[in-house]
Amino acid sequence: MKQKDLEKKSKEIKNLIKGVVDKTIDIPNNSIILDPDILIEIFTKKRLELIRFINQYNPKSMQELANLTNRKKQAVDRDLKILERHELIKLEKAGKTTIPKIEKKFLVLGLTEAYSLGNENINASKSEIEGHKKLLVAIGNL
Amino acid sequence: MSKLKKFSKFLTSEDLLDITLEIKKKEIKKFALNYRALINNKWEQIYRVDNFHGFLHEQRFWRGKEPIPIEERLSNNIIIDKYVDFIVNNFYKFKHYFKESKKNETKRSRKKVKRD
Repeated sequence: MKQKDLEKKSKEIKNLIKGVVDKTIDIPNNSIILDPDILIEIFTKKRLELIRFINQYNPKSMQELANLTNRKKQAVDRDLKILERHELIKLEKAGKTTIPKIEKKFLVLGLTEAYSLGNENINASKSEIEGHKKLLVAIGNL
Repeated sequence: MSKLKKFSKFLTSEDLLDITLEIKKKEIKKFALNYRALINNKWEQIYRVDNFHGFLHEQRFWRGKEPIPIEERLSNNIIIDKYVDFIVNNFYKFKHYFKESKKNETKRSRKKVKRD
């Protein structure tokens, strides 16, 4: 990352903290804040679909989730591990099976325009940070 | 009454800054900045600065877990800005130090096994 980008990132975080302290920015506890460049690295269409299906159907195993999404178990497994690494879902062991669960209820997406995950269960509200619209996406039942 | 706020911000897709703030009347009473990195598929704690235990201190996990006291006479709002800059400007370096310390640790434990 270039020095200019580091300075920008640092300024963004300081403004965020200032906003939280001043109460001009309301972020729910345990939120993860993502910038668009990081967002597209983590969230592919298929991974977003997995989050949506976990939230909607509470699958009891990886195989069940693979069946729900019409994907191979190996592919689902790989994507879930990436989501787990980023602390977006939790993979709970129950004997020989692994149950995927939603880890974070909120993600704050640093976007310039409204963005939809295409799920009617996801609630969204917007807040302004330094003139840029941020979309708050709630995952799971609130 | 003070309010506790916790959130995390990705610096890159493999570097994460956890921010914890105890806020009272729009002032930071206590804070913690915790930098973690994804190394070999595991989130490793690399650097932390906080004043949650009554005194300001940092932990450089490539050196050990021992808290290193820091003397600052500034307000928490200014100190936190200073350390956000410090972490964001140095996190690549910190990660490198951490990886090196892990390598050295592995070498040392291999040598010990050979000796035993």
